[in-house]
Amino acid sequence: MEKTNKKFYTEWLFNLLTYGLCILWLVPIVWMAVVTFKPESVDVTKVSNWFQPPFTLENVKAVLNHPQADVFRWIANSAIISTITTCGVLLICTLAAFAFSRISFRGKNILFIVIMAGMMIPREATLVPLYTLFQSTGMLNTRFSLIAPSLAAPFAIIILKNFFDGLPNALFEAAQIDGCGWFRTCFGIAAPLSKSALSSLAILVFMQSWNDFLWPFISITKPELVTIPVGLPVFRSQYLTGMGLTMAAGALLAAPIILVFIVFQKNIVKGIASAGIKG
Amino acid sequence: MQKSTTLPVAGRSRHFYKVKDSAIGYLFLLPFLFFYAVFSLYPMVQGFVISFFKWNITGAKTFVGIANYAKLFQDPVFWKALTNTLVYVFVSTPIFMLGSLILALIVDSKMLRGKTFVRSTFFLPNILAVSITAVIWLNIFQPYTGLMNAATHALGVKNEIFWLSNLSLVWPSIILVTFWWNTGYYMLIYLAGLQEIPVEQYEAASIDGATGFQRIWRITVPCLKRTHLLVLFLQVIASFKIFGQVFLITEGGPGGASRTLLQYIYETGFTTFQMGQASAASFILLAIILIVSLFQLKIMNKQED
Repeated sequence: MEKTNKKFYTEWLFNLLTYGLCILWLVPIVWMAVVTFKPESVDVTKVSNWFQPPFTLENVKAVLNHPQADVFRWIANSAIISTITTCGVLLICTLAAFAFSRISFRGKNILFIVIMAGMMIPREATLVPLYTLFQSTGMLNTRFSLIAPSLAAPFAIIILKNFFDGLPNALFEAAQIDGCGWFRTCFGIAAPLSKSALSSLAILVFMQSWNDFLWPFISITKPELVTIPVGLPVFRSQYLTGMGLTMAAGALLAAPIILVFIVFQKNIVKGIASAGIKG
Repeated sequence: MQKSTTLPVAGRSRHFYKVKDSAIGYLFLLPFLFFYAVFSLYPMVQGFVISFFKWNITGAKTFVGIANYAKLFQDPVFWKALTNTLVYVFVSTPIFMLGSLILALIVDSKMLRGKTFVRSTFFLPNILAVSITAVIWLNIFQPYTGLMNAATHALGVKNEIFWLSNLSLVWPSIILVTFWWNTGYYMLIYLAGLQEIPVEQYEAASIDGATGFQRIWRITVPCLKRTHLLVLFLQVIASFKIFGQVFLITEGGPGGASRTLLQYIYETGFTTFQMGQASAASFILLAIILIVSLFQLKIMNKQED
């Protein structure tokens, strides 16, 4: 009896501490939301003020009416670029991974090694040539320049190839005997059976693209093409006003992805874990 | 490695199939190889070439041999950026690894209620773009109006702390931000590793009367060897490339105390347009990451044997 009691209290304490840590973890994000809806006159460092009136929409309005900041366009740009990048990576890397896993061709092993070696090339170390490449071809400041460098992702090939390797051979043999072509085998059999790997990969690639900062920061100068990570610092550098405005901008730009995360949290958390361990 | 790919189909010669397979194989690889060659391989080679030229992007390139590298190594700003980055890698890596392991153990525990919520909470900051993270923490670290000082005041510290302009506090502040932002990701990798440990291991230990901490120290930690290595190398490589959060929060300040290697590359290449020297610095970064990656490959392969 005493032992069960002790166990009960340990469990209780453990949960209490963990949830305390959770609250601490959420404070920065909650605070961003609080500051967004508070007038400049309120002392937002006092927790007791956080959830009590007065509230205001002034900061949000100021962000939306800002002449140099088009937050909805930034969100749309980020969404478009991340979506196309994700679809592109899935398509291109499915084809390549399928070839490496299921088709035999000359020079396969050496090509695989060359591509895997490419995983070690950080994009951050090729900024100058990448910039000059797009500049000399007149493609700087295009959506293409933000998408194309991310499409050939060696880590995606590893994840997918591992998955394709694990699919039963009999399936592919049957497909061949039935006269099913390679393209149909790839997209009609291998891809649908790899939904879990593909969705993990999609989440990973989308998040990477959504958060990509350095390359668009360097290469994009047209306001029409600005993405969320590049747009937000505009508020800071041009308007050294109180924190209400910057926090409201941050909150508006964070809201869509946080909502998506809340809806798909289970899939995202699972997807990252399974892709991470293989990559 | 290779599964049965050449199929014995009646009536056709093997040779025919092999040729056809090769063509199809290359066709499948073509899109990948195109983007890979144009946007990964070519820039790498081109970057190496540019590093031997003096070039300000608009004018002509003049070959200067290794002068860019020589200039780089004589530049105190470069050394400062390089040492800043190295110190960050060595100091932050153990903190991040331990932190993510502890979080993983917490969210994997049988005692925990509402696992999905807790896991999602720790992972949540990871989905925020770097500039959103920077805006939040910039305001948190602000003296007089920020949360950080409100917390230290509540804990009894009387004077205002200038987190971002104090030489000895700026890096701890950055580590704190990065810890909050990224630990959730590594926690999930650890979690995946934890779930691959066979249950029998723990059962045997509890029969032997091992306590909770003994179990973690004697079974969990050693069983995670592969995961430790994976997290370690992911972490180290990511840390060498640190830029966004530091640049957006401190702009490299105070007085270059938080300038990172990548910020140096950015500044020499894209604010003063010394393309040759930026490429030389990029090549140093590339070499560092290449060495770390090769090291990883060797150790991880050894593990697998």
